[in-house]
Amino acid sequence: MSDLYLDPILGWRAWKVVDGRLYSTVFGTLWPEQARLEATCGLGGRSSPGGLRGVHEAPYGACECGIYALKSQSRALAIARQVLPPARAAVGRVSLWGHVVETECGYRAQYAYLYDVQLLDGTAEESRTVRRRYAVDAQLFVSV
Amino acid sequence: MAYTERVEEDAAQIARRRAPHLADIGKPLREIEIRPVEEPVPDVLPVEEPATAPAKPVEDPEQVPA
Repeated sequence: MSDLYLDPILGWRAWKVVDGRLYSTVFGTLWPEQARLEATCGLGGRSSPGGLRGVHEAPYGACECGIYALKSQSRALAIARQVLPPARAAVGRVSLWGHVVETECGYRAQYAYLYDVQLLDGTAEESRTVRRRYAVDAQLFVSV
Repeated sequence: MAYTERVEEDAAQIARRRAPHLADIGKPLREIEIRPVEEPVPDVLPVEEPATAPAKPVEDPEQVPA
């Protein structure tokens, strides 16, 4: 039995940025504009216990599927810097909800949407484009 | 190993090679359900913070037109 909560969790992510659109750094998934991203299992359920075949709902506890997010900004920044260059990169927080697997350093979630975005090497115009597309705060990254 | 199992195994290995972040989030701790009353998907732009604070309104009654 899972614990039940009403408030979404915030986690950190990194993205590639192309034409003001955000893509995941590993699988290149386009993050949809003003619509939630829903997780699916790309492994076809092979990690299910007992050798169960067929796609399961994501995230599944014994699998590796789900929308990933980290608990710390510094880890997200490290991933973002791996994609630079040639792609532009961004870091930011995402709201996570639905079924969520909490891990030692992050989360695997069923649903996600951007909470805010910081472009690592973009221009003010690009940050405005991201803001307009996703309807969230988007700024240039400022190191503290 | 059957062909379909090999294909699935290969897919899993490729996914792990492409996903170094798997190590970043660590081992599972617990599973939770989050059911917000309203999904946090905005459909309007957030209000932009003004670059500078707005000017303080004039409070001197002599400067307020009758």
